[in-house]
Amino acid sequence: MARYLARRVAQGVFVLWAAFTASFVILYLLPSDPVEIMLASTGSMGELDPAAVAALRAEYHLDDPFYVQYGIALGRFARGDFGTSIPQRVPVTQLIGEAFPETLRLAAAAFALALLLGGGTALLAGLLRGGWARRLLLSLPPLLVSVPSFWAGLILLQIFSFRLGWFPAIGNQGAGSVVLPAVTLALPTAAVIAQVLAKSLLSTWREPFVVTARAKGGSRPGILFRDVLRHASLPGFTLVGMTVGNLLAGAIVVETVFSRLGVGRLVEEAVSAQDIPMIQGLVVLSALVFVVVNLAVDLVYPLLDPRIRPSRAVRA
Amino acid sequence: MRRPGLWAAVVFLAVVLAWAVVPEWFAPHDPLAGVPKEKLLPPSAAHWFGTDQLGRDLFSRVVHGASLSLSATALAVAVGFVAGTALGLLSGYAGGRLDEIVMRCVDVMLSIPGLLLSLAVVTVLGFGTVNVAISVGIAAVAGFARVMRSDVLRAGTQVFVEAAGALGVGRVRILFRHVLPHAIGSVLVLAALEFGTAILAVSSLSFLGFGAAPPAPEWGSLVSEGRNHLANAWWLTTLPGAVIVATMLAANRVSRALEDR
Amino acid sequence: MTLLKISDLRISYGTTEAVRGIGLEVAAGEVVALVGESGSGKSTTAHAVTGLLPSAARVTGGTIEFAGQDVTHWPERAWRHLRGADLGFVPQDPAVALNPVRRVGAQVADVLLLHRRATRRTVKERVAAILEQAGLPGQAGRYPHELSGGMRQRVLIGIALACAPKLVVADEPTSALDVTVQRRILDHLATLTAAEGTAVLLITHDLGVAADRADRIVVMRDGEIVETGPSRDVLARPAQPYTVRLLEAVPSLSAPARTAAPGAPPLLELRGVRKEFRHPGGTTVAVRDVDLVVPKGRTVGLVGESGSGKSTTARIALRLAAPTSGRVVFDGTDVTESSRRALRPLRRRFQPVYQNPFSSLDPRLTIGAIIDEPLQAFREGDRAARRRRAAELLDKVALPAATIDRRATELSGGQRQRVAIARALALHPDLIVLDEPVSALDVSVQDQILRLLVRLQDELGLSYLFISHDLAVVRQISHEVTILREGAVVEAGPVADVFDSPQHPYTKELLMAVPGQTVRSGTDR
Repeated sequence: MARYLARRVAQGVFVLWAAFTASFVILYLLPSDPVEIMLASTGSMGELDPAAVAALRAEYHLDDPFYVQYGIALGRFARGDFGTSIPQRVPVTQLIGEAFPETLRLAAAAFALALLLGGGTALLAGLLRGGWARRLLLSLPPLLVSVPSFWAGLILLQIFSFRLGWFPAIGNQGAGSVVLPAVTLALPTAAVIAQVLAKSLLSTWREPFVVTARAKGGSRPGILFRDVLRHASLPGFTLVGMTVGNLLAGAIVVETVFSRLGVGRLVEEAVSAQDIPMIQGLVVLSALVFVVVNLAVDLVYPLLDPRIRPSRAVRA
Repeated sequence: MRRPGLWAAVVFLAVVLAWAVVPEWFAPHDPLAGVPKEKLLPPSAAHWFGTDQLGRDLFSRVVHGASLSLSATALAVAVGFVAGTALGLLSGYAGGRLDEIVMRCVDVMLSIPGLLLSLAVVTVLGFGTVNVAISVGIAAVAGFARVMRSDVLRAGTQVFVEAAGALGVGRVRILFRHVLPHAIGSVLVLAALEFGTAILAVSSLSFLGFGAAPPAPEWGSLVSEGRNHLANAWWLTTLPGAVIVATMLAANRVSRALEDR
Repeated sequence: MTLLKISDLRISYGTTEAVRGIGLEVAAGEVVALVGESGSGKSTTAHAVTGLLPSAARVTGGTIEFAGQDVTHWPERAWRHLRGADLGFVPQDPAVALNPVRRVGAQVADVLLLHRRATRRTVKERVAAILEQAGLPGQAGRYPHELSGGMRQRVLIGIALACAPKLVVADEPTSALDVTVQRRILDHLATLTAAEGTAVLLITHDLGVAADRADRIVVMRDGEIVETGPSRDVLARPAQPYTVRLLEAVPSLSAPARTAAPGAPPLLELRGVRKEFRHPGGTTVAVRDVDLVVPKGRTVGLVGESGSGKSTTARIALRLAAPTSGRVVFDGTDVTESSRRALRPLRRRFQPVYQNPFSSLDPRLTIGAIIDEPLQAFREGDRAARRRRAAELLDKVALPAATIDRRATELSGGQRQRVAIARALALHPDLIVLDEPVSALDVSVQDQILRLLVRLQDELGLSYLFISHDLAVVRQISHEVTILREGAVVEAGPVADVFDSPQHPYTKELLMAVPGQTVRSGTDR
């Protein structure tokens, strides 16, 4: 177990290093002059301040050969230093540290809601044997997947903030402000969960062991909860990492629509300002989240699926 | 006509495609020139989708926007498809060290959410529709590569592929005669599915303001422009968005039909 | 007393009628075997009796009475009280019939709790008793994948019998198991049902199994009952031509073996071949120092149960896999370490025929293109000459000439296997390696393919390495036989010697386990 854990952690560190390196290559080495990109949209309008350019070139060692640049950057990365945000002149890690809890709160609320909505839809459809109610239920997820979250967010804003005035339109203040963004963020995820689970339930119903369960005299709900659900929900666990990643990506749009503080908003601002150190920090952060979530999933999965555990086969 | 939903989807896609090719046949007004005294009118017989803050006909802007939005989507899918399948084929067929390296890179790309990856690329490439399309395509490369590789590997384990080897048929011949025709199917299905995803990604990026420059109409930026009038002109965000939703629904419906085939 | 009474039952899938007006009775405590080849409607009948018909199937006529009640059109709700309680069901493939993510004890407990034969408090004890009876004491905490196929089938029998039902329907309960395991499982089922006086409806494709186990035999074909009667009568004096044909097609263990003068020169030799597979947990030895010689113009049968290493040996013989140690010699040339390139000219002289004719032919190609493939690979003649050769080959394997433009998906299993044989013959090979070539086929089709193989061998002077789990089939076609167990050769020699006076206890056990020995000896002619 300890050896397995060590191997997985090593793999995770590798992914982080690779994400850092790839983003370094794309962001610092490919552009002819990163400083120009960095300063282009800070408002200095064409005339670059020579002093500022020189300061930046020195800060990022841009006049050195690329391997020296990379070595220095890697050394900083290892210490958790991603440099300074260009427009704000504040360390990247500090800005991310301030924004992350806000996004975490939003994403957690959205995830719980998505699980409830998506799982509930699939289960209800699984209980109904057929008919229009089931068809209606199963037609919802593909519909929701096709709705861009920026549009869904704006519609919700129009109805619940402007027309009905139930929730604040923007900001991070109070519990009410998290409702509409969380719903917006949850809808596409709920649709994916419902689709995956419904498909998996359907294929599990066709498994031969369900015939065995029916031959025992089990009822449909009984078989669903005793035999089918657990088997059917297992494939979904491998998608948790991807789902969390999608929530983070969704936060970029949702936080912009609702003008909320958060990591997603940082991404949008960083891209607008072409704030390269900030973007690199955010890319590596998302890889970190992915690695941590997947590590957790891989550690929990054997507890749920006995087939993955080291087997204790009997011979007779 | 046993599947009315599918046919409706095909017809809708054909109409949108026609908008993109010959917008002047469909748009009743000039998409760029506004009539100031007709600003912010709600939808009516004269202006199906209403007018915006400069008095421009919104429906005409949506029709003209189809060209930018759809060509960006097509470019994105093409970039992802060509680069991804080539990489996957190479990786799956060559195997060994090369396969190992390619797949590690793919893993890393998949660990970063697609939208974030596209944004990072667009930061370097600069803003604009073509760059947005390329960046969305790059984010899709990893997915194509993985599906193509696993299909090549799976086709390689089919008994009739082993049988061909045992009969003395050469490796390259087996690749093109047996492996590729069996592997290409699911990549094509993925390409069709990716269309819907790419429409979403392209319009999200232009909604965030990294796509077409202001006066040019593009679906995502139309929704974005409407945000300023959310409280008093619902149609400005709702209707262009509804067209995006309908296009994605239609694209997804058609690709699902391809998948079931 | 009649327990189950089926009258004029008709079942359709859409417009095709799978069961066409059958009548059948099972008395209390009686064992009835329902025998038929694939497509005969026997499984559909079994599912109708248990109310487990797939939703695409419709009962279009007739009745099913169970213990005096007409259950033909019962709703699911009513079936629930019957199934598991008065009516047990043993499914076909134990590998997939248990829920892989639940402990077997819990899966046995379900049926007791559902029918209130135990309370939450007493159920543990009852489950333990049932598993002990099944020969699995103290294994309630196991998951299915930790048990062997035979053990899983014992669990499933335990579930079927847990509530002491009046009737058990067993749908091909042992067709997925090895022959020695099959014998023990059927003995186990017989012991338990005899003790409780439970009636059994045994569905099987194997006349031998039916003959050994049933009081009465019902023979089905194309959805109709062909013949029915006490087992002894049906087997000794079959009244219908189809039953006679079925009996004749069953390979016999006592028919005269094929003989051949000794001294034929060796064509393929495996010398001390060993194959190890390395994996994270250690090393598995699949083949242990196997010696095997296939003489020119002879058939060598290679027999073993699952896990015996026979398929790995076949792959090494075809040089699709390299042995870890030992030599592979083909017609005097040591090919053990030959490269892909060096091997290629030799490939045309040894060709494969695979087990499953549904996966070994590319479904997209026409039969002509499939047979053409090896010809084209070795640049044999121009297009017209190759097409003539393909037509000639189809004729040789007794397929109609029009087959050449059809696709593999349009052919039956037997026809596909003929195509695979034609393809293997295309390059005039000396040796054909046949890996379970008839095990996916019905017994009458199997018989035709075996006769075809013998005829081709006599005409063309071919050598065969014939791999099978079925002793009777191997006996019918082989001159010599090698018996493998857990990767090692247990016994080898001429067919007559090995089958008539086996030396090794495992060979004896294998021969004992072959079902239907009485039938086969009774119908030799």
